[in-house]
Amino acid sequence: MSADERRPWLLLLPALLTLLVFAVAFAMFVSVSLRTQVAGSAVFAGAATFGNYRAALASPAVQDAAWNTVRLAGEMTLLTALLGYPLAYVVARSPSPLFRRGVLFGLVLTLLSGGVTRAYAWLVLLGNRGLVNQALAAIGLPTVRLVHNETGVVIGVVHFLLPFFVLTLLAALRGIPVALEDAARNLGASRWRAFVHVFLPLSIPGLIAAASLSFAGALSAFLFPELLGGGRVRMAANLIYERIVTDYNLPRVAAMAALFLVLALAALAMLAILQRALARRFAPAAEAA
Amino acid sequence: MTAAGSGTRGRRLDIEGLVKHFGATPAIDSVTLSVPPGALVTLLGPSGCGKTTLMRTIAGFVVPEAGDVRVDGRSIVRLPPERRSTAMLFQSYGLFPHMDVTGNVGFGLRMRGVPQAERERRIGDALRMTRIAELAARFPAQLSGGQQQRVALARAIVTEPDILLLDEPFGALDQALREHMQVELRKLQQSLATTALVVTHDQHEALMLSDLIAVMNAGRIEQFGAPSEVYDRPATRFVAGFMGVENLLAATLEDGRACAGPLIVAGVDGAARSATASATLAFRAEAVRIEAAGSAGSAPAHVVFSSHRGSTVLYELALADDRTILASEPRSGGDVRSPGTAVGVRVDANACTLLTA
Repeated sequence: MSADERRPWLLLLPALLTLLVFAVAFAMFVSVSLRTQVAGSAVFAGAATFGNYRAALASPAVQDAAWNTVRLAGEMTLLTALLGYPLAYVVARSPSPLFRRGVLFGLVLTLLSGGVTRAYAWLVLLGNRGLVNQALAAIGLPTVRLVHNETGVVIGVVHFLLPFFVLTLLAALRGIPVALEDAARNLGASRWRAFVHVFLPLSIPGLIAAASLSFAGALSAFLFPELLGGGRVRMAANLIYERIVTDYNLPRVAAMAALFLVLALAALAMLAILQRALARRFAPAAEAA
Repeated sequence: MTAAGSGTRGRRLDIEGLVKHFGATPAIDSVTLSVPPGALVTLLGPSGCGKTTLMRTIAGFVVPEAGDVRVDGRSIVRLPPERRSTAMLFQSYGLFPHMDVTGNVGFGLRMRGVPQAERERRIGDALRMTRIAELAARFPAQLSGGQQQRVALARAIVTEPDILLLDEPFGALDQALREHMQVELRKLQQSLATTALVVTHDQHEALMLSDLIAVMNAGRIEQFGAPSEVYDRPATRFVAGFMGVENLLAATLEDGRACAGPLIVAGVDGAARSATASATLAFRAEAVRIEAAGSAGSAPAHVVFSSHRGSTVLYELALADDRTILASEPRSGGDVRSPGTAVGVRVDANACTLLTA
């Protein structure tokens, strides 16, 4: 092998080193999860055991958090898709570059503002004496609890996910030629049927990709459940954090975290399989090549 | 929708005073055009001349500011695209990548609620007519460019449209396939007797395909006529240039003669009746006769450059007043005249056109 042929590998070196560090850290993390902590100390002792995993699986708190995490992530992803798809569609098909740039600027601005800032902004808006409830009270309507519960968490996370979803989907939607919708209408399809029969099927691979990204983001939500959940909403990351702070039983928490990781990976793998199956169904172009 | 079956008479297409602006620039500048039933008319012009906008207006994708589009006298200009009986063959074909050939060709019938059994029969007919019956189960990505075009054509004709619209239909094909498909399209259109409008920027394609050619420039129709008319008797300088007339010389008109400097052509049609004293004398390279220097009635010139064109030789000749003209001469075994050679030039009056626009 000549020096020239070897060179591309050199470019991969920084990335490989980074991955190596993560792999080592994760291996240590897993090895810790197999140990037992000596009570009242920070010392791990004893032979390797799956006891921590058994305990975590048997714990109602872990089971609840696992179910809550998957359910809430599903709800958040669905809501993000319902809000994000029309937005991405309008942006993708808008004839006005000014409108397009305006919406994209707004979305990127959301990305740039910090999570903590946004969480407090939501508290100001949605709190029991927040702007929304003040407005409701002013017109004589009963106030509603919008934060310190699941509603607040869902609102915060969906707002956080929306730009990722829209930007990912937008790239896919802009790849669908306008000529296809024109062709459909020319062949007798109304605007709506052209959308249902042509645009929507062709957008499904992009939709699943954007939804997967959102789902992954929702699964790992920590900040918004912590700040907007009022201690009532426990998702995986919040439970892990709470246990570290209260018990400081690192092997136990490591096992719990490893289980949540497996759960998240399984959920994402299912989405990936779904994406492949749908890509084969709706975009045979990729299969033919 | 017309009734199914053969013998369907083509429809008449009338475009009247159509106007469309994009911003301040007119894309269509009060265009009026009539396409006789069953005829194939090409909209010929350079890119940006408005020909595609005109076609998209007929299909319903562009809403004009003024004017009317009528099919057999019935106005369709207010109808949305899906309620017009026009079928368009898009430049990019616009095949649906997630449907196989049957799905693509059957889409229009499905949208119009044609029952399954009749749909299958008509899809089969259209695939046979375009000679792609064996491709029925393929997806667009598995087809060559020529096959994709046949699918797009089958998809367009299967609904038995009143008007067939073809936007640069051969632009994406290589030369050999293009000529083959042009002939096939023409035969198919004639056998169906469907009124058709073709957009192209290729004068050879227009000459070969059309019953009538509308030459467009800057949103206007400069000339509308039979191919031979447009080719032999261009109406404007623009049409002459676009149809490849090589020589366009400023000339003065005196006593029924056109004088382009030393080159004097007597008996040009219209020279005696012309209201103006000056015009453009237009003639093709093959209308120039090259004679021996000093022969009676010829204009003196000398050879500047020569190039082989297979059966002919193309000469660039400089007249005495330094204006150059192009002349083509059959290669009859003689030597090619070398640069600097003095010659006499004569132009056949019958092959000349006087242009005042």
